[in-house]
Amino acid sequence: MTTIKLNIIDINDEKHVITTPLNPELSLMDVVKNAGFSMGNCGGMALCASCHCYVSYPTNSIILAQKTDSEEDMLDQLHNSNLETSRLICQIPLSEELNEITLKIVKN
Amino acid sequence: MIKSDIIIIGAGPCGLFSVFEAGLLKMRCHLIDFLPQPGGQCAEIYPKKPIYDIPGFPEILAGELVDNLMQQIAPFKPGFTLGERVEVIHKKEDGSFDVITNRGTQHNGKVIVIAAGLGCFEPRKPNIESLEMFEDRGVDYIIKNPDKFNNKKVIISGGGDSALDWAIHLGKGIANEVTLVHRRDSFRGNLDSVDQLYEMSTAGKLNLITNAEVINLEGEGRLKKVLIKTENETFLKEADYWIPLFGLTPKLGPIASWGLNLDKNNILVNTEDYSTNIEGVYAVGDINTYPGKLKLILSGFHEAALMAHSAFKYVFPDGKKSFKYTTVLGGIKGF
Repeated sequence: MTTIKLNIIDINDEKHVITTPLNPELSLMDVVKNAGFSMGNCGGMALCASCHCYVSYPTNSIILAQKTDSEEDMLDQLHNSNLETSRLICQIPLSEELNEITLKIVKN
Repeated sequence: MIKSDIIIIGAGPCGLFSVFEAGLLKMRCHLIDFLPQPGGQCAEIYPKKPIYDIPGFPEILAGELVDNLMQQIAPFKPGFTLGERVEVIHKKEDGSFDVITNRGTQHNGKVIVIAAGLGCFEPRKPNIESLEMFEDRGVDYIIKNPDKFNNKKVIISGGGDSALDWAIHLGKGIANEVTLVHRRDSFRGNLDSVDQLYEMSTAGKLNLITNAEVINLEGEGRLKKVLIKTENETFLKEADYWIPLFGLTPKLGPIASWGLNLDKNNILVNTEDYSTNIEGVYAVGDINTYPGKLKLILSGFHEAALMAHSAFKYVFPDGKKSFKYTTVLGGIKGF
């Protein structure tokens, strides 16, 4: 099975690398949560912002899943969201092109 | 001192259903919740979202489920202390518990049930150094009594429905001046609210400052001014109150200091009756954990039923418990 590599920067600015099988039924939040990071309080409904991350990519070629209305609504409320880089990663399904993506977890 | 048989910490679905199961066994309950209304996250975060796995309801809105539960427990006349967070629980020599909230309200009960879900919903706070200094001295995160803003200069921050609704409400002749500060140039709240907001702004009933944020607070002992940064300038604006409305986030809070056995942010329980390591204290719903735990409302309902039958021995040490189906009872006999 194909695997992808994710770079995680936690709320204390420590770097971690996780490798995960490519299961399209999972979201990025599922994978990061399963790796032991605290997030996903609302179960992936874009309602709690516990999975708010600043996302950066190894190249400019990656197109992430479009933001849903629910995600836009929640990001709009947050005082620390960034128009360009903020995502609720519960709304991003796993895909091959996420390989080498960097997620900076935002302190809630 | 508010006395009850069972003090339930958390008024979400599992806390509410605990009242029902306890009531069937003639135990009186009092619920305490930090949120200003019962229903937990079902009422606060997703009241309009459908839930599909409540037995007997192919589809039900979270808010409707809360309404139904409130109707179901009404015969048992539960007490409510809302808008307060439990800070301290203290076990007394007679085995009962004293409970004190952040507002100093004192409770006593023979049993404590923690049904706190994901924890205590607390406001998301902006990262401003002097913030804590002005809390309750001009900075409010939750509006409980709008009359307190009568003839005051109020600045609200945020772009969601809550920020819009309060700006509109306070702008209708309550506050002396209302200013809404938002980090973006558009609002994603309810479309009717957005239209009304722009109409009121055009009519001079409230000020809109977009692409801006409050970055500092000033005052001596009480808020006097806020520092607002826009794309082009940074300026001070007089304010009696600043209300940052950036939503709520759950935190375990004081529960972590009550001597309970925890696994990460969850309370470890015995699956025989969902009791904790402290005799007389139970935990039901999303706040607990055990091997095989599923964080589902229906699991919490089951846990509430077993908890009530176990808690009976503390409430009625000499009583004889009888188990009867509600159909056999011929209706719910409340207090």
